[in-house]
Amino acid sequence: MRNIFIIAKNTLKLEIRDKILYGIIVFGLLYVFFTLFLADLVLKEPTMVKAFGLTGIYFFNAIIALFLGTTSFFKDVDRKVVYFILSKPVSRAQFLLGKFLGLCMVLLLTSAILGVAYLGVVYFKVGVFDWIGIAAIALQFMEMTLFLAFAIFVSTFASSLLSIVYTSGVFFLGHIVSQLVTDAKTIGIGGIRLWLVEILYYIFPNLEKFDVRDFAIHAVATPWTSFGLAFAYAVVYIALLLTAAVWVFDKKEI
Amino acid sequence: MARLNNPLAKVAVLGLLLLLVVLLQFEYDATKITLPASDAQTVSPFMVRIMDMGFHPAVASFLWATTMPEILDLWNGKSEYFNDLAFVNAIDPKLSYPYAFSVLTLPAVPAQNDPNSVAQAEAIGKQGLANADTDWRIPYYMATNEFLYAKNDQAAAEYYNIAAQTPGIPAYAQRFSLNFGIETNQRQKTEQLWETIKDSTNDPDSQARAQAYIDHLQDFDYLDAASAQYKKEFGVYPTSPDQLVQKGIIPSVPVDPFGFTFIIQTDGTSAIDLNTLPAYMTTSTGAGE
Amino acid sequence: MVEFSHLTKAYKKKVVVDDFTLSVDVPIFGFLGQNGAGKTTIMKMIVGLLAPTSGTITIDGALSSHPIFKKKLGYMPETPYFYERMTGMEFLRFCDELFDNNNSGTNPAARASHYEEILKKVGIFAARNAEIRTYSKGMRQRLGFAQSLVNDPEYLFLDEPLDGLDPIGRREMKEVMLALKYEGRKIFLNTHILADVEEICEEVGIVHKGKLLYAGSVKTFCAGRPLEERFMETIQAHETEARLEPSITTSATGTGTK
Repeated sequence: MRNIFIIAKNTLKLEIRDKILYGIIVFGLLYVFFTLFLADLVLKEPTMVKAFGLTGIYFFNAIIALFLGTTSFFKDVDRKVVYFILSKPVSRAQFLLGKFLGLCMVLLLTSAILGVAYLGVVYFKVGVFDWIGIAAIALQFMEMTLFLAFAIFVSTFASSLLSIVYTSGVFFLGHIVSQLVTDAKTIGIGGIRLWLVEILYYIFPNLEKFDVRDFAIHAVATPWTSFGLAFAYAVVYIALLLTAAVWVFDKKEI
Repeated sequence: MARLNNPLAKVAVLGLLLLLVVLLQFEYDATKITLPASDAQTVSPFMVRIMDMGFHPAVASFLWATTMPEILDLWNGKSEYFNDLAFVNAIDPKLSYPYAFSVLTLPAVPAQNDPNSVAQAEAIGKQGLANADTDWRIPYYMATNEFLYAKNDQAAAEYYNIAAQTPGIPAYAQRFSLNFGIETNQRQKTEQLWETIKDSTNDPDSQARAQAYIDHLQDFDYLDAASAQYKKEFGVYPTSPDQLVQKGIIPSVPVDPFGFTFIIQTDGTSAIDLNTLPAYMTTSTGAGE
Repeated sequence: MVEFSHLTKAYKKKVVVDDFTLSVDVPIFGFLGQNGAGKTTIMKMIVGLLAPTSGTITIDGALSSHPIFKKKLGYMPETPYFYERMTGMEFLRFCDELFDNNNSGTNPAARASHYEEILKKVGIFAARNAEIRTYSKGMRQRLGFAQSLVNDPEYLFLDEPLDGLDPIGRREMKEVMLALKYEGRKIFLNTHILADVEEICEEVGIVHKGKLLYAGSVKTFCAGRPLEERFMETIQAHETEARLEPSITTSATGTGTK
């Protein structure tokens, strides 16, 4: 168990030294400050300023999660750095979980940085301290860790480029899928096609539930049960993905 | 081919190549065959909602930012405003500001450009009440429209009631809403109402409009007080605002923001001269402002 | 004592290590063979990076790849790859922490001097705080060797440890290995350089296409003649035999075959 934390700490330290990560964070911060300009476009309407800001945080964290998830683990294995690690009393599961945990810590850091910038912008432009925004950022962090787990799972058997494609695809579908179900029913698609869509709805990581953003922005009373369920969903789905990843990785010839 | 060691030479070569690229592009544009532009609206709100990965509020907000200025086109005639507003609402029906803004601003469109503006405002307002997040501004502006334009005090009172109970309503607006109908002085009531409208919005045009109304109303109060002063000093009411200036009661006749001319009536109260309308109102066919 | 018992590694169509059986109990043992003979695969199986298709490797009776036993091992992979943005010292500390000895936690200063000692031994002390991405090939080899020593291992498994070093470097590293031998440690090394085997190994295992052709004392194998000659002879004899009777697999035993 201790090994997991050692590897996690090391992963965090190394990723922070990565220049590409800095570039993305800088872009993210630039966007958050760009919302200052967008705020004026919509006459500082609070709902809209929050919409721009939270969406930006989500988007940039997604890019970071995609980048980290598809490259960090894969590179260690592909470039044989793992030879040093796995020849010591460290199991493959410990290594994989340690990488995951370390990358989660990086995401926590970026969420915090972008989150603080966002809260500052909202406070200065709209004059409101967005408490619910914090909840929205927390929930999007959970979604990002789920995304990360998926990316790592895919990178146990696919190269970086393929991983990016698969992971982005699932991310995209995860958002569409519940939209498709409701909108499909509205349009009147039925039968097998609807059935297929509904199966996808249950199997694919259904990411709409993490959209507390919507609630935060529209100031609807926060549904704490939904929040709790979304959190539990993330934990369980992550467990599923990491277990599968460890199985695949255990069998992998390095 | 000789090596280019001179940095200046390298820059010159790159510059020349870039110039060539620009010239070719220019030439291509000049000679290409253009197909007639398509008029089709390629994206439906459904597609946008599917593709925006859950970013409905942000996308709708951004589209709203581009839609808002289109309302000014209504002063000139046709405008895409209503279509685009419907699009924004379809992407995120819960976004309340577009509805509120429409209810507030549409009645200002002159009747000659859009005779139905008040009715349209009401329709949008009702949509907003049904679909959007609770936003006190929607019922509040609907109430003010009923009072100011539709002259339907009962409907106004109903909407004021809804507004007063909506969470998030600021104190000044709530006080006004709860006390609507208690004030007997119509002018004072109207003036206060415009004050609340001015305070509730960030839109500079709406603020300017509200301020104009406030100034207009305050001009009457000003002239009434001056007229009473004149009566006290000279025993009779003045027959025109100029007399107030001549006798030194007021330094000058206030300039009405709407361009009306003021008169003093036989009972000493001020009013606008209905026989001399401002220039912009006497133009016959829809030339706008 | 290290024992290999019918160790086999087969991929779908290719047998990379073929029924390898051997016992070793000398200070320095060398696996000698051409590139691709299977030496690296054997070493990976010892330290648990690969799982054998069948057979076992035990050290003093315990499975070598068991986590408990791994604490007593040091391993240096062929062509070591590092986290480029770590410094030499950081890397050693990281490797040390993975041994769960509670050493690194309790007294960081003492461990730090331990790492410095190791780095001095291998000759890269001066670069200890530089990022690994600035290291030359020779320095990386030395760092790879260094990390195999952090846990004070009883057994060392070094895959081509002298690869990429200049003549002075090779001399220095050989001296380190001899020093380690006098400290009582056991060393296994993979190499394709005959001269090194002659110089420092007591025993040698000749590996060719996954098979063990000879295992035993270097001197006995040479029998007064140059190692190169004997080596070529052994390989060619095996090749001839294989060609004549392709269906018979020569199973290697612990003694010389010629």
